[in-house]
Amino acid sequence: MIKPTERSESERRLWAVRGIILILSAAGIGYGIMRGEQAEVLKKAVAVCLQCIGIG
Amino acid sequence: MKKVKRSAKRNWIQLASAVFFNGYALGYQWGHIFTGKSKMFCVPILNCYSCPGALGACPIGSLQSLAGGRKFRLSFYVLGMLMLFGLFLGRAVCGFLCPFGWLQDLLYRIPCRKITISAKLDRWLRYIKYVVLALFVFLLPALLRNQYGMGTTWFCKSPECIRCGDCMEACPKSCISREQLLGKSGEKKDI
Repeated sequence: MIKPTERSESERRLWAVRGIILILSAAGIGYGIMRGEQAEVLKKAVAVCLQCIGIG
Repeated sequence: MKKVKRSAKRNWIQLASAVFFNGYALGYQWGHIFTGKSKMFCVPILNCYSCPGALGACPIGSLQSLAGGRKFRLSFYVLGMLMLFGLFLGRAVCGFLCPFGWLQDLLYRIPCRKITISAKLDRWLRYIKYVVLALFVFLLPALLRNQYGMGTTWFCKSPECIRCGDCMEACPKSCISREQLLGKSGEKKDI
């Protein structure tokens, strides 16, 4: 019988997936910052986007 | 009755969210866009960053414009942020924060005959969003490039430049000239 404090197998797997997604997202953000992607996002966002209006 | 109350509360939250994410009032007054550092961060919703009031960057707009740019084909930074939002907020973002979701909710209130589809068709149609995301946000901007190596945005843009000249006035650094748009003769020019 499963004790109320014990996590079931599926719940444990769900937490593992959540943990993996958290690690992947942190790694993605970190790697992106290392490559300078945040500056590129800012550059695109603060200028009227020529690509978006079809002449960039 | 409870359902109606809950729906009204959700509407207020959606309105507050739309105002919050587009809260740069001076942009509307002066007709320019916000250029602060907060635009380095993506908002968790679909929100055009060329809107005068937008305080953050649109994740989908950023993904497609970076995919079409020369520096990066895939933005790990934006994808990481999207994963983080998905992990902690889930689809509450769509129902509570997204201004387009709010607009759809309001439009649905217009009394008219609503289209219903079968459960089987619904199951298939649900995959369209993935096709649209892969095709218009990642593949087409990254793969179809002009002679300068620049891709164009496919998910959100006007189908072609109509040479209205609004961008000449809107550009904060006067980078767009009349000749660029119309050519020296004043006729339409293929750019």
